[in-house]
Amino acid sequence: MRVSRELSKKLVIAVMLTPAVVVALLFLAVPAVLTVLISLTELDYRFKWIWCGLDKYALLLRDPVTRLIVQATLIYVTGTLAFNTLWGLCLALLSTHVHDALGTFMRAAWLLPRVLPSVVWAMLMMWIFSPLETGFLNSLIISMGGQPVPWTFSYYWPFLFIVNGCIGSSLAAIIFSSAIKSIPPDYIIAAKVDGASSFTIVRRIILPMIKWHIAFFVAYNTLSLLASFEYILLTLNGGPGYYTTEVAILRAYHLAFGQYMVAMDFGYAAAHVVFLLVIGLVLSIVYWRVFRLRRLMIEPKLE
Amino acid sequence: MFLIWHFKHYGERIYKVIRQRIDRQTMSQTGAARKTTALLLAALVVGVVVGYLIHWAITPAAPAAPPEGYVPRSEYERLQRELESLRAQLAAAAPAAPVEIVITAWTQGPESESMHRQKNLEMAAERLNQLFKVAGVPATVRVEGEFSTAGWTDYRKKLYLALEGGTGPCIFLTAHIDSAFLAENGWIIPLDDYVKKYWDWAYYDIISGLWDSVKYKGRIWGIPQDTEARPIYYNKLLLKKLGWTDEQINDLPNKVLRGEFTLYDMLSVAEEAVKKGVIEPGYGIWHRPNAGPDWPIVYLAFGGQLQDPTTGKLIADMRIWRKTFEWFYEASRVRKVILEKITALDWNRDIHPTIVAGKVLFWMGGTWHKGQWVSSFGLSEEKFWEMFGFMLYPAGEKGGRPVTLSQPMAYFISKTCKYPEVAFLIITLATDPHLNSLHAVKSAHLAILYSQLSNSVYTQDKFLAAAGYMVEYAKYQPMHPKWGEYSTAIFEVIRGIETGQLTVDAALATFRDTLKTRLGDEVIIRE
Repeated sequence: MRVSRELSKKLVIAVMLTPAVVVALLFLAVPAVLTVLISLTELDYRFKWIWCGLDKYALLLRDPVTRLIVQATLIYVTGTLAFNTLWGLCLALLSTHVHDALGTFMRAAWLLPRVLPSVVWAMLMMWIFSPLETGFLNSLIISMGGQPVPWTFSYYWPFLFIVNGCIGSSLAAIIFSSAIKSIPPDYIIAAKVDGASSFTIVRRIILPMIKWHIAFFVAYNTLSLLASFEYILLTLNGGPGYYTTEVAILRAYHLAFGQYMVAMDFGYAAAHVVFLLVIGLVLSIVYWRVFRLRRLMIEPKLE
Repeated sequence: MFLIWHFKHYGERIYKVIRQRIDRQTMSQTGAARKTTALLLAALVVGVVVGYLIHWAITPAAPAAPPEGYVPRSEYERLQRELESLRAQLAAAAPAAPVEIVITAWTQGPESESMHRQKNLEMAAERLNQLFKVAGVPATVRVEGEFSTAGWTDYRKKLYLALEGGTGPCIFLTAHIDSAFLAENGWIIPLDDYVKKYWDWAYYDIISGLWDSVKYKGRIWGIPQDTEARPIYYNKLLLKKLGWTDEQINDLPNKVLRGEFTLYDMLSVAEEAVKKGVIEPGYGIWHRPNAGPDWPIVYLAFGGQLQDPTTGKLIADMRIWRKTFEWFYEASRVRKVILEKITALDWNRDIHPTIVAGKVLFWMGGTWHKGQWVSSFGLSEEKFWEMFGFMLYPAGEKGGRPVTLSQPMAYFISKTCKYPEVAFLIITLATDPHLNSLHAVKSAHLAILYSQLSNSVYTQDKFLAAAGYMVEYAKYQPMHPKWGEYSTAIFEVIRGIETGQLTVDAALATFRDTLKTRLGDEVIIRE
């Protein structure tokens, strides 16, 4: 009797999990395996699966461009991540400390870049930060008697941080502000009674209480940034200069679809993606351990 | 202080809210929500008004409508009379079940002026239908598909994936160099037999050199649709400001032809213009901002060779590449006549408007740019002739030969086409001196038929007549499946030189490494 209840419980759990497992297998595991398989072939414009073992990985190591791409990926991910998290936190703190209506308005306004079609957003930003005198910022500067600044040309990383960050930070702002709002007010009131300054309250109460949310956002955002390239593609497309902003995933896209005459090199592109996949896996484990995310998942000892 | 005050305010408010009843809380929340909505709506209205004002402020004046009506009315009337008499004869014929043949066709600009690439196929189908109708054949042919104004990479990507998936169009247009790629993949059918069969219809008339551009491994794979030359435009008004006489200015193309004016002379003129303040630094010589067919031209002007005629392999002559990279280094980093940020610019937003505004001395362009400037960038025909002259790419060194590059477009027939001969007939009928001249004049492309050279529409165009000689100096890009990777590498390295990231030595080393690792034994590297 007892055993059958145990069994039925497990059965129910299994049935409940099946859709999720099927979806995960179909749309995550299968493409991942296919990518690994493609990276072992010379699949290119001929669309023929010619097995070549680890040739493409050897090429990846030999390729003079790889060093630049690793460098660009590092700068892009850390820079955008820092911008997203810090600016998101700033927005969350500001919008929860002002009048409610204004706070909601602020967060809603910051959602605008996210709901705008990405092509429109990219065009807009390229026009604002155009390195020529016809750009929006430069024409403002010139009308005020200043010298035009070659924005996207000289400050390409800050530009990309802003283009991406305006979109990423809105998510951070929403997560963080809802976390701040869920902090029991007693703590804050008690701190105030004890004469704590705003800064101390933020540092000693708010930040420690939302650290899980920050940890989650950092982990989640790192992984999604590793695989994000559309705004670089739409704005600087790997330039200016010799592969300055060509991140690994953009390089994979270019190799597969974006070379002149579309000289499609799927095998080599897949090798880049597998490389990213491995980094993503390693980072997931590192985050899991460093942020002790497991403690987020276990059942509370006390309800 | 502001923040602290708000923080206090916030704390006190929460405190009060907890003290008071929950209904009060919900009431204040709905109040807040209402205010937020009002704020959002107000922001939306202000945004729309500001947006409209910006639109109003920056919208350029609409270009003048193009002239119409190239065909004399009498021609139509004559055709009409013939038609009616034939129709009367055939009226008695017994009707049969009508058949409709649909031929899908994809063509590409990206410049909208080249829409005749699609329109001529449709007009050819109409002509075919007319013949059927008159003869009482119960069949119609319809050309379906679209003329694309997307970028070349997007168009090719869409086309190739459709061809591989078996859903590609029956007829499509792409650049001649794609023949190698398309034929190797077995996506297209060879056209030798059809060309032979319909030789007397139109193909005897094709300028003979063009056949080489669509031949791969000894077979004909495409039918040339147009060709072009890539000249260097020079701004006459700026040269005049520099102190050149009209005679000197108009003689410049001839000096280039005689080999008396080299690429380095061009640098000196541009440098002088910058020094004398005629142009801003960096506005001396401009080139395309992205990867494309033009990148090997300077290498060709220094006497470089791209393909080995016997083995068909690609060639990289490192001594010539050094000269090429040195020239770009000298132009961008030393003499500051090529804008270092030129590869960060956009064709339509930055490049064309700046050239049309007369701020650039030399523009490494293409014949069709004249068509674009006149149709889409507000340059009048008269102003064009007043402002621009055009010449071949000068030889790199004294004693060399001037050069340009042609990239003919061609129609291809896919393997999945159900009616290849009908498709071929449509292409044959579109390969017509009149229809092709309409395209050539509208888009500033050069003739593909000998008879176009005496066609009234074609010869009326002063520009095409003046640029025609360049075809004799034109080279083609190598027809090799790996050429795309080679060409991309040239662009990336030159971009690195211009932005100051790579010295000539570093550029050469990187370029050699890239070619070796990516092309392997498909490229012969000569030291």
